Amino acid sequence: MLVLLVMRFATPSFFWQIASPLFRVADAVASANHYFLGSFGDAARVAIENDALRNMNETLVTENAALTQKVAALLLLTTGTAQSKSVATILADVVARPPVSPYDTLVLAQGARAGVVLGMEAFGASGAPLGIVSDVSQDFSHVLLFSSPDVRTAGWVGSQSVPVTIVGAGGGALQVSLARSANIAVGDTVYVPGPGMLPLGIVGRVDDDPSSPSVILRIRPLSNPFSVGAVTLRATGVHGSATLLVATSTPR
Amino acid sequence: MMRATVTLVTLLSTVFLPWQVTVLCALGAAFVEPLVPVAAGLLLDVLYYVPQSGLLPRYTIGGALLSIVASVVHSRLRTRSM
Repeated sequence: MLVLLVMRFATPSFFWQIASPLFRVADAVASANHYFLGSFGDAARVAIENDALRNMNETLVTENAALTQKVAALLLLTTGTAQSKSVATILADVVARPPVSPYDTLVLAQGARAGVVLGMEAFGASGAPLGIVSDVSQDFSHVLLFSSPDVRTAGWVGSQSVPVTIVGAGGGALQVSLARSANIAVGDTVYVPGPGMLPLGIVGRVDDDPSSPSVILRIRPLSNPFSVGAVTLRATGVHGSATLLVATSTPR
Repeated sequence: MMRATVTLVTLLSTVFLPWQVTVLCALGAAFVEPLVPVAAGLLLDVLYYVPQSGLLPRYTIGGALLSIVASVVHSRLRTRSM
């Protein structure tokens, strides 16, 4: 164990090269179990769900194409060219994720060699931000999720964009303490800074204690860190580190 | 044989199973091999701990405490059975 410890800190890349095949095996075992247990489910219900998802996917593809055309038209109007400035993005496989990882961290199979740097933001498949790169070795990196215990992130909530501090509660959960007068309801969207306002999650529950002037919002993240297979890393220029960021104004 | 199996299962659970299962395995393993909890705690922190999280490496600390308690209990039981 001590040899592993020394190896982890002296030669982190070598350590992860050895450890990552084990994680791949764990992933394969988890997927096999998922399919096996899923085979006991109600086939008719699964078929209906599948149809609904296929329809939803087709709708989203159409909407996406329309939005892409709109973006191209707007770019043509503003810059005179239909090409946007390319933002360097890195696609990284997730080697380990919660609940195997106890600190709500992701281990990614891309590191400094691929251009990963501290402070880059990780985005899930739906484009929702997940966390910040907080440790980089040659071929691997760690992402500290916004839901990691005690991690505080500045953001906004609701249609009025009320500035809040989002606190990680562990296990993929997030929470916000807010004055009751803000009138935030279940279903309101929570945003974090990025290029503009990026939707992080949705208010899933409002804990309201009549004796307290504030309410606690329980936030459900848009991208589930428990099932994320790959993330996109992008330097948004917002996060130098994953510690407290204070929102002082509301973007319009 | 029993000690080796328990140790191996606990250490492998840090990679294959949710951390709650690892903690349960370490608690169970402490009965037969007092050093397993600190080893499992170290491995969890080596794999997943990020200093920027602002938290202490709680699994190493917890494992070490559990190992100390288990060692004391083991030594007492051994003395009594002699």
